[in-house]
Amino acid sequence: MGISDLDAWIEKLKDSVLPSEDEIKVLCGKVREILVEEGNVQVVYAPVVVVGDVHGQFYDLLELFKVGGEPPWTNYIFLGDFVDRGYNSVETLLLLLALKVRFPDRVALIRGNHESRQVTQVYGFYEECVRKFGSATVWRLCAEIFDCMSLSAVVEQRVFCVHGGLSPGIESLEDIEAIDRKQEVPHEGPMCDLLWSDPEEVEGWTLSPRGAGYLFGEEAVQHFLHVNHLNFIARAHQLVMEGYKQMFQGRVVTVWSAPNYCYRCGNVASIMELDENLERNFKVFEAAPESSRPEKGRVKAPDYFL
Amino acid sequence: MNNFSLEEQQRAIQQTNDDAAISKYCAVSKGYYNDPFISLFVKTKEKRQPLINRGTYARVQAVQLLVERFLHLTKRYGKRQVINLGAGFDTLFFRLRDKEVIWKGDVFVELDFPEVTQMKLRVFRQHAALYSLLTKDTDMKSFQETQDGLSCDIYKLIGVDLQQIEKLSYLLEQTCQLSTHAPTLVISECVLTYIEPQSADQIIQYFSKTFSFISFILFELTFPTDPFGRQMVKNIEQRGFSLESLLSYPSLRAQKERFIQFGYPKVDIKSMYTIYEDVLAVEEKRRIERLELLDELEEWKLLLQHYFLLYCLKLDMLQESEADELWNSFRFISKRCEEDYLS
Repeated sequence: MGISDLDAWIEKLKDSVLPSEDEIKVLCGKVREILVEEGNVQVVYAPVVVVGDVHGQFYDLLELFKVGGEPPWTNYIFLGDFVDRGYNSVETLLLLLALKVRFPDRVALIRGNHESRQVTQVYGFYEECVRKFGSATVWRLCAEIFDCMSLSAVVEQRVFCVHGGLSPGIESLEDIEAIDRKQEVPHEGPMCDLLWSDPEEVEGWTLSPRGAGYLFGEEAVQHFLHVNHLNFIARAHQLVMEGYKQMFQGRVVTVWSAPNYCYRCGNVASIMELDENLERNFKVFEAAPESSRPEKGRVKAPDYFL
Repeated sequence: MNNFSLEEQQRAIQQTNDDAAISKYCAVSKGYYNDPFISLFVKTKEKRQPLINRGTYARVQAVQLLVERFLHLTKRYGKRQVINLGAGFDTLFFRLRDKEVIWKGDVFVELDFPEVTQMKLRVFRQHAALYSLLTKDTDMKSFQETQDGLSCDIYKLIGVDLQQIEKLSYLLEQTCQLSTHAPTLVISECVLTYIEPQSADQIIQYFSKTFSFISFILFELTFPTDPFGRQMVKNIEQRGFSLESLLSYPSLRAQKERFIQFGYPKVDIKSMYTIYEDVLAVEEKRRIERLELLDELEEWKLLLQHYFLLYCLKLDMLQESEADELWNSFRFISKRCEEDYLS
């Protein structure tokens, strides 16, 4: 698979044309080779654009690239939750994987809690794969890729990027590096916490009402930043109606990149640009216009209580 | 507003009944709560998201809790009357009858479009389990099937367009021979919001004017103007009808004032989020929260904050102290500060 093949795929994917199962197998092989070499804490340089949850909202991802710029001209960190909930997890994930193979140093893919076998069987990605390919083969291939994805990134040694948040079992970045990540997301423990935890106005650590991970307060954040000589934490994982939210005097920022989440929530989305000085600039955007959504009319509106 | 014809809109509104029945069936089949009857009313067995299952559980439990409280508190006043507006395929009567919390002497009336009541009647005919609960302890002389309904001394199924208020009053007072003094409970779940506001207000007012001992339970959507609410209205109206009354009463405060204005002095309103958090039994919640993974708590909160349960009382005949006592035993107590929500 050469560069021209990849470019052709990327263009086709942008037109929602899916590669064949065999082609996906080749792609996954290539992605795997790249991902397994990456550390649990990826090193990333500024300027970079940080992207929160995308959740299979493919046409909104294309909108996001219009706002943030196309790779490789823009350097990206995606904070996970590429799949589930939205109608086009397959297109979304494959496009990101193809971009990763094409521009490995300009696209960082961090694992989210939805990059998991268990969660994707409840929240749509599994079913979508079976519907679009007639079997679970593609889902299985993708799930193996999930197991290879990195757990976090650090920008210019100062900004810690992770899908969920901190863990009481993690003191330093070295602790993260020590995790054996190549597995299904465990139900508990440091790896689980990185993907599941949320910042909250709490003292110390509290079990998360989500059923996995912890709620961590300002003190835990300050301690982690101090020990690891970091400025702040960028994370995703929680819907923010305004697209982003800063907490604890800016020491934690949540970036949310799925506009009108689940076609239900009516929220705006954002991406966070970090410039050379690690100054933050948020770009807020709305869902792609109806005219650019070929799926319109073919998909069911979300359910309500009627 | 949309471009659908009146017939198309009515059909779309009737389809909300199928949709609700499917949601209830799905929640029941996942083990959220027990309803041995709902499966008899469902043909298409679609899947629902955990969020919808859990919310359906909250809705059904909260309404049934209030209904049972009302029936319990009014035991000493003799015959009770329950009127379920736009009942659709609701199985409440059968659940209450099965639990023996309504009995001979009480009257349970279900009203809906004739197209819907005819379908419900067909389901009754197909299932002995339903028929035996209908005919249990019933004076068979009172039992008769009509073109689009059924009547026996304890249960009446009637086809009517609720907007025809005179017909509605005739059916309840003359045909069903309801007493205007007996304790009467009206239930309306996602019904009045599809009706234009003047007609909906007339219905609310009709009951407070006609019945001296009346309670009204309303489960509906709210906050149509915030970002989530705007999207909700857009998504629901895509089905082909307008949420007529929603914009006229766009908040919990507006709904509460509406019921006070139309003749109910005692009114409480709570978001479904508050109901779930503060009212539903903790052990039951712990049980159902283990049934399915629900990790998107922000979306869950938003959705439940856009639904409410209102309940109210008007008691003309009782002493004030007795009325207050009844009201205090009826209402839900919650820790959450409702005033925040109403502002």
